[in-house]
Amino acid sequence: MPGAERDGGFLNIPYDPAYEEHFLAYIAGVAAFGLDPRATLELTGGERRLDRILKLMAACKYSFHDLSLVKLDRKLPATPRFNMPFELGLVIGWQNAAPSGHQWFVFESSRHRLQKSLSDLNGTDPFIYGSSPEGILREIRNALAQHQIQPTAAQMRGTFEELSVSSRIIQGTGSSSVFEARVFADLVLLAHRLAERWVPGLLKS
Amino acid sequence: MRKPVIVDTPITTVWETAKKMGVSRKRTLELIRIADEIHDRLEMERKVARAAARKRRLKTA
Repeated sequence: MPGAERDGGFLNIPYDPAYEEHFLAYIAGVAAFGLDPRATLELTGGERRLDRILKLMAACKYSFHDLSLVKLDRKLPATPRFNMPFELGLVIGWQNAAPSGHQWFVFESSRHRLQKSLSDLNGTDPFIYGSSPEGILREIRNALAQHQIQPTAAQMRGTFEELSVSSRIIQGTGSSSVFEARVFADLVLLAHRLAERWVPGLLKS
Repeated sequence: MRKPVIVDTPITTVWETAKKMGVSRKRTLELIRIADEIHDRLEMERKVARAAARKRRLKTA
């Protein structure tokens, strides 16, 4: 894999209706640090999906892996989602084979559950966010405590709240979910703009 | 004859990202307008709410 760029934050979270607010919180939180939120949603084209995921991860300095969805889905046959732990495994394997300075963070909503769901990660401290989007913003701040830009809690919350309002406007124009490529691109740009308004240090000119 | 000076858009994260994601200039400007309108409107609402809270505090003091 090529070396990581400085400013990407790969979001590995469940594309589940119950996670829409969480997804917005991740996008707003990452944008408030001046990072580009990236997700597999933006992967379109003919290349093999796994190859595109690997390229996307490699283009990011950070990755955020939300492993809180551990239930079976409602559609038959009821199935758990393996994509999130699988993509985390890809990152860990990549970093062990060819360290590039990429940093990965594991997010969970429940304390101690990761020890049960993925005991291979014992020794890794997950970021426990409870169940609220505010918890996600708090834990992103904790994860990126060493990052050059340090937005305040109020700036992150403001960015998130305004992104939530914005998302309703753009979704009202024909999309059914935030988990669509076009909507994701719009949300990323909106989040960057809102973050620029909240965090003065983000403006380059 | 002198060539006209083209003033480019300021280099901000929004424009850099829009370019990277292949979002058109028109759509980017539209999204910036939406974000700015929402930010300004909510900022005004927050100011009004803060002023009202301050007024209530002064009344009860």
